[in-house]
Amino acid sequence: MRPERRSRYEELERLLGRVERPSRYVDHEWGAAHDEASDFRVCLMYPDTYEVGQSNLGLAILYSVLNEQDGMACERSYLPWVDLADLMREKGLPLLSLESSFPVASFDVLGFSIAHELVGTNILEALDLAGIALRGDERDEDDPIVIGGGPSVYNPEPLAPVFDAILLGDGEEAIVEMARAVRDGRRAGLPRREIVSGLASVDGVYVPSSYRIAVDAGTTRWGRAVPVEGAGAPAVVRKRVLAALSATPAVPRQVVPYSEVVFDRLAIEVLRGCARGCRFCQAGMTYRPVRERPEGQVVSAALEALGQTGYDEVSLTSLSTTDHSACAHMLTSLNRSLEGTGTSVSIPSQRLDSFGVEMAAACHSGGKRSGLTFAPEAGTQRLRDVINKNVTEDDLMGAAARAFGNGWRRMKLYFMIGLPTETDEDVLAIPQLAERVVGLGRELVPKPQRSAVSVSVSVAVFVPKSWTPFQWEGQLPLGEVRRRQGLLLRACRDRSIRVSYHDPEASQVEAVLSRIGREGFGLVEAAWRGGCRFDAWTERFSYPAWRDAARSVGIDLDEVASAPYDRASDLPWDHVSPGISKGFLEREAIRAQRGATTPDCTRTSCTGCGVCQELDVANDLAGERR
Amino acid sequence: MSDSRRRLRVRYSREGRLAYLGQLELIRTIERCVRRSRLPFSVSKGFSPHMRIAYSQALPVGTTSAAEYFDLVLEGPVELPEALASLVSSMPGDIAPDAVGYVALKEPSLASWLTRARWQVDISSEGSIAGLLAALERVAAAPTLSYERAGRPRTISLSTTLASSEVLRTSELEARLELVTRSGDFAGLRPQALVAAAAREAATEVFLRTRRCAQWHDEAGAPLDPLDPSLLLAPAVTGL
Repeated sequence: MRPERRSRYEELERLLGRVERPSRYVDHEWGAAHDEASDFRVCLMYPDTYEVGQSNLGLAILYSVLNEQDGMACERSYLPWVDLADLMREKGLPLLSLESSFPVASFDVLGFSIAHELVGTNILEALDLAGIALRGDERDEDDPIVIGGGPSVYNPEPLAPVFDAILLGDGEEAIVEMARAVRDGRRAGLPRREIVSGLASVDGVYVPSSYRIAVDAGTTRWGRAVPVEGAGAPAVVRKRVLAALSATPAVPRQVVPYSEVVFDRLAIEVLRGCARGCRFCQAGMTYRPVRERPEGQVVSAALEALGQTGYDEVSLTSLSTTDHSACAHMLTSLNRSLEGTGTSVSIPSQRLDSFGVEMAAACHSGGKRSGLTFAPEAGTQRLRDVINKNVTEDDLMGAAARAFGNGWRRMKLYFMIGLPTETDEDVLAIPQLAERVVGLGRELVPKPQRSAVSVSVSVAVFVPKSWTPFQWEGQLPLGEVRRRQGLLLRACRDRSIRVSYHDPEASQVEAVLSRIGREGFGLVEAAWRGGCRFDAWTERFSYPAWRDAARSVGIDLDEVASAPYDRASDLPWDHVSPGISKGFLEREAIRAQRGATTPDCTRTSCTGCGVCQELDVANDLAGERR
Repeated sequence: MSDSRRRLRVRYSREGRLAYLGQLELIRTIERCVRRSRLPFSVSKGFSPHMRIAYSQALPVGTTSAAEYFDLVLEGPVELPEALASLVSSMPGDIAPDAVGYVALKEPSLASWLTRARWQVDISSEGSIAGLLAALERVAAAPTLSYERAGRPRTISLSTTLASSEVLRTSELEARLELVTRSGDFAGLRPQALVAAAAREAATEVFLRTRRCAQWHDEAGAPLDPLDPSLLLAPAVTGL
């Protein structure tokens, strides 16, 4: 039964003196929306702590647009850290929204951001804490409609039983349509299952309960999702896409946090999508086409929002900000307008060439040169060609030279191991490349500062993702990952080079959840029942617990992560499409094997990924790219 | 450098939920408020420019206050009523500036100058309040207070830090205390720590609402308010 809509803050407050970082739970931030009158209520949840989720741009946009609707209120919720969650269970206090402190289960719609593959146990933890059944088919008539969306929806199957509906793609229009559909259905007194199946009529929405899983000779062992007869659901759901960013506000309603959050600054989305075509990158495939926000809109919105929020930093965010056709000019005019205010401009990552460094330098005029981050991803040109990372060693050296010349001393280089076709030679090339960068730094940096030159090398493990040219690949087995990590570590002698690794075990679980079908829900549920939550937190992740969970449901993690899929098979995610054609991904997979690169369609001509035709959209650039 | 700069002293209260901000969170919040207020705040020069602002001593997490202070350096004078109004309009409701005045640029920093504070502690107990108060009397009479914080043992000298402790009123399950504490270049006393020690001794669970009611400088036994006319370049402006 739906709990009463009343504030439970007083009960919560009694627990705040006993938990770490109580400011996570207090709300009342500058800009938070308070509307306790509207009777249709949506709660948006980022299933991690406040400081991880608060700055999420996607949820901020949805929060903004929903609160602009007449008669609708939208609130936020985050997952309480384990100390508070345990206390709440002990005291019988359910999960609450932040603004009104109403029980989350009293809302009409509960929307989760599906940020990455390891977030599943947190979603179950949140539902359980809220007192909402974990599975859609076990919910009561008046329970909230539970929806999801965000970056990690292109293999939704392991979480499909949880969600009444999942939105693929851009949410700013679709969320309003979904909320209206639920509201109208409730008003008309429709039964829950009709409201849920009706959500499929919103463009971009996948309703898992309208599909069953069929396993046959033409599928992998996880089968394919096919519409249930009579459900009226399409065989393939295509993502929702916004034609142009310029038609949306550059800055959504801002909630300025008290506590330090992970991106503690004003963020402006300057472009959406990336067409560079790195073959391992899921976002690069699923966020197409490329849409730039016009420079004038960025600059005026930044100045206005800085004044309203009081932030002392503005970040121009996107998948590849330095690719924006007006990047240089935009930075110059922002810097000029902000001079003398102690306000800085930042861009999240640097393009690997001297233009990238020029832009980074423009961000830090007069400020500290803390460190510069580049992502060559692979050590040899051969392997960089395989993954279509279109940068050469000359680009990297040119960028490094420019960075050392501009006052930087520390550099961070991101690599992956376990990429398709990787050999020991490729692995050993990683420390060699780092050594050349350090060597260059020692040549270019004046003598007294020479000892400050350092390079940190961060090595992730390749995880094959759906809807990428590498979606058929298996992950390197754990033992082999460890052997190659050892190889790399032993080859690294220079004390100015520090090497750090991602945990290969967490990467394996990530691979399993990226590749498995609907049966994967049993694994996630068993892991959560076994005590897993906050799996993305290194100190909380427990591989033994996941192993036990896998064993209990008859799944072999090693096998699921590393078994390749046949290119002729239907895949567990073929029914949720970001618009990319499977033929293009296959061609790219073949070109990868040959080491043939594919250019960026925002700089050359169409490369045939199919997104523009399939979704009837086009790249929308503000000018010519350089 | 000739000086048109001014040091604006601001008194504000801190209420409700914002009691749960840590000091760093409070600082971040106030600096953002100052930026929103569009007052001509002064920024330090150098590698990492920052706002010239200084605060009174950190308030323990979970504590409200009627009298917190910060000193903000402005590049030039602003009429006091205007300064107060723009601060008020840029603050979240639970941080409420209610008095401003200009003090000399060279005044000592608030944190070291403010040496006395008066606190009010409302206690509700699951067990007997009388037992708790008896335990509190014993704890407060000892020369030192020892407890663990974040897994580390701490010892506070009560004879140095606790100036007075008085029970204002009491009922079966609740009591109100008033404490006056001294601070300086020694470890300070948090009222919560004192009551928690008494609760441990009385083996009862308590819920506290703590409020800092006033802070002042002690000049050889005579109290001096941070906005005392003798410190101000012009009369303070209060209230709205």
